[in-house]
Amino acid sequence: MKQLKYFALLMFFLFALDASAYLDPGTGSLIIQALIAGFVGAAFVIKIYYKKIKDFFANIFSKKK
Amino acid sequence: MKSEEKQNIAGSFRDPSGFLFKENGKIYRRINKVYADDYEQLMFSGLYNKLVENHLLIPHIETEFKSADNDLLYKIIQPELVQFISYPYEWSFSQLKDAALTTLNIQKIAMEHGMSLKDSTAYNIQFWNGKPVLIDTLSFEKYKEGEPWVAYKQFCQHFLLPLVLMSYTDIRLSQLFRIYIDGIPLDLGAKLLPRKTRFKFSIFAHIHLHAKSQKKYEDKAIEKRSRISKFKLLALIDSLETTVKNLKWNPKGTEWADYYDITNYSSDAFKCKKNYIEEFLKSINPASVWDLGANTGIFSRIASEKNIPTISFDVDPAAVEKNYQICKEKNETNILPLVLDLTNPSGGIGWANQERMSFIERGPVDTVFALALIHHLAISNNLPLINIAEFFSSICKFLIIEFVPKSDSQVKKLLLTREDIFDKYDKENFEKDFDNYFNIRKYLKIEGSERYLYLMEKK
Repeated sequence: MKQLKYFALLMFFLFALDASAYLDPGTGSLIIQALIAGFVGAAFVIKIYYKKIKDFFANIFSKKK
Repeated sequence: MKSEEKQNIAGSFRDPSGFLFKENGKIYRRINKVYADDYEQLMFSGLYNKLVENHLLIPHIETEFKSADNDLLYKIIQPELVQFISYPYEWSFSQLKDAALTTLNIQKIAMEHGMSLKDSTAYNIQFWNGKPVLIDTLSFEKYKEGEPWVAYKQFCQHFLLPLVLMSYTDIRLSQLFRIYIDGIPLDLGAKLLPRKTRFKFSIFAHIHLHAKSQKKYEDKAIEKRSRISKFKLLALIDSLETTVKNLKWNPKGTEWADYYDITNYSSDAFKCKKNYIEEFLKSINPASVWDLGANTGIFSRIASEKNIPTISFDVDPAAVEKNYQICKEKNETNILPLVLDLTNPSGGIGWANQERMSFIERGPVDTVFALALIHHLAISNNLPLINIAEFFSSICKFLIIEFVPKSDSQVKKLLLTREDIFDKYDKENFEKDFDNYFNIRKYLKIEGSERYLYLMEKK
């Protein structure tokens, strides 16, 4: 019984350590992810500002109407 | 309090956060204590409500349960039941694309609520009331600023690469899912893609470079995880979303996409067949229908429009694609089009052949439609009529089946290029063989054609 409890506790900690990382994200995938994220990040800034500018003018024109 | 005499569901063993089990025909999900914090965050951050309101996550209720191993148990939840479990190798292009966009949308909303998807398998998405939803309530984990998206690789293997392959190389490559249960390996996919995909930045980066990076760092541990800011991570998700949105596949040239235009059906015969099906359905009032060889689902809709949950199977991905587009246009909730080759239906795959159910395991169904199908099975696939009868009797209670005789132009066409070795393919033998497994309740000649429509009940 004591052994069983010990086993349950061990499993709990094993799972606890593992819980958020049961999936292998892959080293190569993580490295390329960081690289691509950096690259597309710059384009994303432009995209967001372009959308803001577009919305701004769309608002002005819709108000004029 | 209920007792836990349960049957675990084979496909949900990977995640230590919990698992699915079945009891008295109901599905439950066990949540282990290890997942308690993440579950609380999901429920109390507003994320659960937002996802459920937007039809992105399957709703659930919490239930009380007596468990044998209470030490690890945190909660038992009962999610809404998905009528029919389908798999990515059975989806048309747009179904997989919508499932991909749903996953990315969920990830964006999760990040707004301080959470992130810890997996992004296509098997976690199911079609529920006509739309793709996430069925794994335990897929979320707390997001820590600077952390990369752990499910990025899985997303590329399960969604992006299959869609790119279907769009740029061949629609049939979705069938690679049947071999590779954790998505199509990137290096294999990259080899199958045409050269021009290397000149599209997003495909080049997420697939070709990604595959190379995997190869280079194979078996190498991470010394120091590179940080990715939240903004950059959102940019990555946006890049994946734009890439997926831009992928297109227009069905043309496949064998049956324009089938209804080329058959010898007169419009009277077509109407007559529809009326007979209506009449048969009225007399049996089935709880569910599988339409096998449904093409674009014209006859499936006779059932689904009567609020009968209907699965509309066809071997032609173009017909299924068209069928799905109709479902979307009309906002239909009772019909699910799926790709299925009845001569080689989806088998049980994964660990112990049990992770993903075979086609037959997902039955039996109340009623099967086998309309304009028998000649394809008996003549194109050399199946003896008795074997066809036995198979149908194993998957349904009622059978609405059309007999297409040799004098029909479609059968003549099938026999054009081959020797006629089918002496026993006639109405008498058809009735005799099916009589071993079914009682023929009624049969009618379809006016304006050589064909007959039967209503049969399993013996």
